[in-house]
Amino acid sequence: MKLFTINKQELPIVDHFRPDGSKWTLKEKLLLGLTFQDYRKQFFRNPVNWVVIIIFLTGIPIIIERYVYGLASVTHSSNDYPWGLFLGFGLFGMVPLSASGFLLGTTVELFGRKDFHPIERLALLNGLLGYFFAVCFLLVDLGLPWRLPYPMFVSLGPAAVLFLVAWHVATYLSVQIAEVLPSFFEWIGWLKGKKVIRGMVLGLTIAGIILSTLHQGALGALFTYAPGKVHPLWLSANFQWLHFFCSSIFGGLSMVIVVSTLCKKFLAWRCDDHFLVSLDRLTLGLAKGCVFAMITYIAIKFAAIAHDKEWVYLLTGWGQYYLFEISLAVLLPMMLYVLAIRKGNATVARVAAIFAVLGILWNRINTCLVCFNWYMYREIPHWKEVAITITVYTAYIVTYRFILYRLPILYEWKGAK
Amino acid sequence: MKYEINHQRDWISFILMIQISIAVGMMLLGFIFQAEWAKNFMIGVGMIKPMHNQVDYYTYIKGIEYLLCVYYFMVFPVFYIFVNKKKQ
Amino acid sequence: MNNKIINRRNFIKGGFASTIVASQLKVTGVKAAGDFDHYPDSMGVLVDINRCVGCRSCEAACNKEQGLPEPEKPFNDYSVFDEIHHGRMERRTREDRYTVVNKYNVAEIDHPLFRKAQCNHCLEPACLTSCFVKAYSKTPEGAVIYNPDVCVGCRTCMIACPFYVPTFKYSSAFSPRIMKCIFCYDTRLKVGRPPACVEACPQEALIFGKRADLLDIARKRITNNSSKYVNHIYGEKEAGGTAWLYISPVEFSKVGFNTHISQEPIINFVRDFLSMVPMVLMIWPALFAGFHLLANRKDANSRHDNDHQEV
Ligand code: SF4
Ligand code: SF4
Repeated sequence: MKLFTINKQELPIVDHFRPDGSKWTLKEKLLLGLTFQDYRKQFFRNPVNWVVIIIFLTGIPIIIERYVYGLASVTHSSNDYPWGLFLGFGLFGMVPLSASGFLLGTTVELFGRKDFHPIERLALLNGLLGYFFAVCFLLVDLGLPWRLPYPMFVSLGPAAVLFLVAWHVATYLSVQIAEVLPSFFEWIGWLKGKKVIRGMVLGLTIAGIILSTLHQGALGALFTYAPGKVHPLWLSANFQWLHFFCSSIFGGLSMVIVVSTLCKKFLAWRCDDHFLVSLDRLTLGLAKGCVFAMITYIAIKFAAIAHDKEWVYLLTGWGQYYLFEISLAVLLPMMLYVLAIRKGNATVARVAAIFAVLGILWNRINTCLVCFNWYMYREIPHWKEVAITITVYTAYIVTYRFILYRLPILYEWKGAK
Repeated sequence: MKYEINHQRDWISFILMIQISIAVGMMLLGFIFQAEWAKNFMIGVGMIKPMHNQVDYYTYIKGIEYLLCVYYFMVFPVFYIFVNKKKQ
Repeated sequence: MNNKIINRRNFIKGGFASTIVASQLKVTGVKAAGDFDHYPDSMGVLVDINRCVGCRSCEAACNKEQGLPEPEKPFNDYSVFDEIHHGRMERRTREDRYTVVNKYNVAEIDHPLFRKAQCNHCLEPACLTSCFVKAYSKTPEGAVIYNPDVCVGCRTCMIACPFYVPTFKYSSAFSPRIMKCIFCYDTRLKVGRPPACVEACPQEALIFGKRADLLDIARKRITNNSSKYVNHIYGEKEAGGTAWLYISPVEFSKVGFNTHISQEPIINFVRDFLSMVPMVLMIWPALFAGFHLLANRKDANSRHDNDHQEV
């Protein structure tokens, strides 16, 4: 989008009408007011797009291979490690980073903190896309993806934790779509739809809290099925769901900090002053939310060790790895956040957020792969599994960018709202 | 947030509430008086069934629990709107 | 099935109230696995590791009975015992074999020992309780069977099974499914016949019978030959008890058994979370609606001011 950054005078398309008073067509809105040729030119001028094209050209054939020849052709088909990178990263990693939607929804709509409004939509979108692509990862991983609705309509197994995950992710996805729709309605100019959703916003927000609590927790509880397999330090039969829920709070908030930083840096042409000016203040506000979740998380992690009397494991190599994880993935970002808050320095908070996001991913992959079957061998994912994961994640980034370019997420719609 | 609701919606919610109370009342009466239909109903939906293992028992109790939750989700919003309705 | 009907009749005869009271009296809070009778007449198999000679007849019989693909090496090829596999040392169940026999050399005995592994047909199956489409069921005969028509292929059952039994047909793109021993339920157990592996065993290392009787036999063998057996019946209590039982001349950990499995059925580890779910579902709505009403003070404050003015 160099075109806009170089000669930036005003934001492209923030209203239904051109400066001269005539209406933008939908096609023009999609092309950001450029002609098709211009759009293509700027598209290929951007080196990021070349990387994306290369990733897709390698990844998509492998995804096709997976659907035509089965999972065996792209994974090690391990019976000892039934869940690989698709779930370890894609489901268990993406979902906590998408907790942002319900957190800021609650802040703004439920507690009426309108000062967080400029970042609310970004958080909602981050939530929606995170979940959506977690489901995409699931569709890659499931043996029979076309049976995805079975647990809901064909054969119900209500005692299973995954049953809850299925129901909650499905309903929460619809809730999140409803929450993001107002931006879409503003953009296409259908205000009636927006009004309908405004009327339901409290219900949607509360539904979001319930569903998030439960399935962030449920993802953790899934591991309580394997008490003998996951290393005891990473598993607490009683508290696992709280560990996952609590860490999703700072995971989701940190992810919003990371994404908003990226937007500020690379998408400044799309942000309005409202967003840019308040971003530092909001970042520190989110950081404050993070530190409280983090200190709680550390406390309940150790409470779990005490509850299961696992202190002795801390003396082993696994124990060192565990402490290493806690220090690097939670303690360090927490201290950085505290520093940032005390000094009023948003840049430090942004560094902390990167650590926290990577830390969450690391923790989930540890639970699902590294510390799973800890007394057995380690499973190294097949390179094609890695390639598919990168491809789907790239699709996530591209979709994210596509929407941010257009919908009034980072800026306020100037037209009728 | 709009708590005010128009008359028609008011009536619908009112009727819903009444229906719900009737249903709950009937269940209570059934329990208290051990009515034949209550017995048949409970056997019919498997509320009384010999269970041989814990896993099947959980499938069953969780099913009923979640049904109750879904039922509650229908009741609560109506209840909330009804309570918060402002007098015109 | 029969006794179910009788129970039901008795119970109606006994009167509604009395049964409710009776069941109330029995329930003190959480029901544990011990509160269930686990189909008292269900069947099982007793495996005597002392008797097994590693002939792999059971593997062959299973392969034939279940119509599984022919293996790379024939069943009378004993070099499979020395194969080394990716990651684990021993062979395990796989999509093309429901059961495997493995060889163990132990110091205290001068000949190798063999152990047959397959689904243990738990009394409280972890696979069953973890499956979100109820693809598994525990039959009154004791088998844990699987229905491929509803399976979604999420593989949670493989995560949950403490014995690493269910395997996934990764090789199939369009009809993958879980592959695991089903106690020959369709073809044999249902009509009261022993499973193919038991029938094929030339050493009577496997005996088929009611689980309760097998436990007696096992106990007798252990007490009568206390020098030949360790005093433990593997499967009596492991993971809540299993239909397949094992007795061994050496510590079970030396012949490939996972001896760290808790006696609690797997569902007990998940129970905490499961019981919290309806509470969240029912408490959160009013809790957060309440927070919302409390947090939005604008109206309230202005009303407060109004009240003051009126006074
Ligand atoms: S051994 Fe595993 S697969 Fe077999 S019944 Fe038990 S939990 Fe299920
Ligand atoms: S893989 Fe199939 S049988 Fe196993 S838990 Fe998932 S749906 Fe159930």
